[in-house]
Amino acid sequence: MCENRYFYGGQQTELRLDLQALIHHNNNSTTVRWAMADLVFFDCNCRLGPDQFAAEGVPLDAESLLRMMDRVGINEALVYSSLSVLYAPSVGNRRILENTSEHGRLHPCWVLLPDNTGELPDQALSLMLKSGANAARLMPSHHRFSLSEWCCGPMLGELAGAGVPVFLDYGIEHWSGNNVDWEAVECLCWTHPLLPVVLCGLGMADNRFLYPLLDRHPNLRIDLSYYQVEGGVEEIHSRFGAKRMLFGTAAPKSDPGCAISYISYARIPEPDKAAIAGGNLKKLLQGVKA
Amino acid sequence: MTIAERARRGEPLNELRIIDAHAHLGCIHPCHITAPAVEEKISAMDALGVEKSAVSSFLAIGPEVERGNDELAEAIRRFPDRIICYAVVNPRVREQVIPELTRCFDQLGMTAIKLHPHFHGYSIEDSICEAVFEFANSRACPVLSHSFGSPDFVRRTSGKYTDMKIIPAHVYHDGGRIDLTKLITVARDTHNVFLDLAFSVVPYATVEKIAAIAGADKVLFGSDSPMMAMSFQIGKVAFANISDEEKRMILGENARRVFGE
Repeated sequence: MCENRYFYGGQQTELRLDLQALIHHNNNSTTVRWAMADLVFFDCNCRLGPDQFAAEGVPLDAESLLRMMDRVGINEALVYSSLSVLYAPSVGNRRILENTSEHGRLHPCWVLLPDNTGELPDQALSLMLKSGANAARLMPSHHRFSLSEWCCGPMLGELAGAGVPVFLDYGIEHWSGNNVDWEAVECLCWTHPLLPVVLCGLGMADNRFLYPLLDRHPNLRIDLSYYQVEGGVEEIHSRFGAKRMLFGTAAPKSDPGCAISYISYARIPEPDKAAIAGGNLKKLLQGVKA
Repeated sequence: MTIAERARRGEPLNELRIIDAHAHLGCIHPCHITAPAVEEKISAMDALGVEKSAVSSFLAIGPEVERGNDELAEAIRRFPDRIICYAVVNPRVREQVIPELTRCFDQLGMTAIKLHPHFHGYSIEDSICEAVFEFANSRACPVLSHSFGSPDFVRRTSGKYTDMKIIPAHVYHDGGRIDLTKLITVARDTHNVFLDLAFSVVPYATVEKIAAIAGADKVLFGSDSPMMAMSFQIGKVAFANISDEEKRMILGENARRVFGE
């Protein structure tokens, strides 16, 4: 027997596992070969690296992450470093380049901070783009900063000028919380209309905030890793178009299967499904100006 | 093709005869429910190849028990082969429990019971629930409850009401409040406790871990649809690192046993 820890709604739960039983399960599994004609899944919300809270068996290095992706059928992933979250972005951003350099299916994403404190190198955006990282993640709650112009204005302006997609992560742990600073999202999208903003981890109780923002701001998109509104893909597709949604898993913290089936079973035309599964993210990354 | 391969392609899994053991009709106030009606439920089921959904009324687990049960009865009337109905009662209104359950079972065609202690303001461990358990035991029917209390209570109840099927809902949802491993172990050790997989936060490999401890024969696919998407919730089973035989059990075979279908 061993102890494994999970987080749920900010609370820690311990689940003791019968490892023998689990090993039996894993030995029965097979890696699936996915047909070329299938949807191409490009995960926009994936984390890589050490995590002191992770349960045993959670894929934390590139090789095991790729094995997980093979097993469930995820072709590529945009990955940020766990060290940027659990330690420091300055270290995590270096590490994610090292960890992805030999794996063409894993695309690095930097976690940025406002430049007022000098924690990231000078010309961070330029360095980021030269290193091949074409996406940025901002975590204003976790890293304790404001998205307002007085705090992030210059950085946001540079990102918008280069067309770098920004993944906005408010650290949502459960749909019932009120984590997102919706006023800040509105202000960000309004002030920087050319900045592609992807709001991460929204849940099934966010539509009353989300719809008016999607309506007002064509540069706003969402990651579907936790969205799970019944008929939600179809509804956003119908109201705002397929390009406003991106496939994301929040793996390996979350199980990736739910996010896959949420898209594969969506009742929308196949080309739009393909755009959500991977095409939209690919276009965003290709649209970055060096 | 495997179940995972087919799910990745979005193919309906009709021949698995899937039963969603935890679903609803209607609305719930924090959420924009895009599909509250039974026709929309059937459409969502068809997309996945779900044969039946076991449904309770959001209205009944909220402010209007009888009216909610009546609305649900209309769904059975229209889709008798697709809908299994949970009768809802509020044990705090003691004098209504047995008459309402009797009406639901004998007149409205319902075959299971749903309790929502959180929404109706009581504890499942209160003695007021004993009348519900006695009724369920006499009908040998399932009782799904949003929370089924402590693992020790579940174990005691399992031993006292041996013909009732006990379904603690949202097994993972109770993280932090109960000893999850102990609850899963109770399911393993008892003949009439089954674990519902409807939960919004799905940590990596959760289904694998629950099935490994409790046994795949004690786990039920549930979605909480339309509060959560059936197509989202099914992914945790369809892509789990377990055998297809175990997936068949979780997705349908176990529920057929529990609901007598």
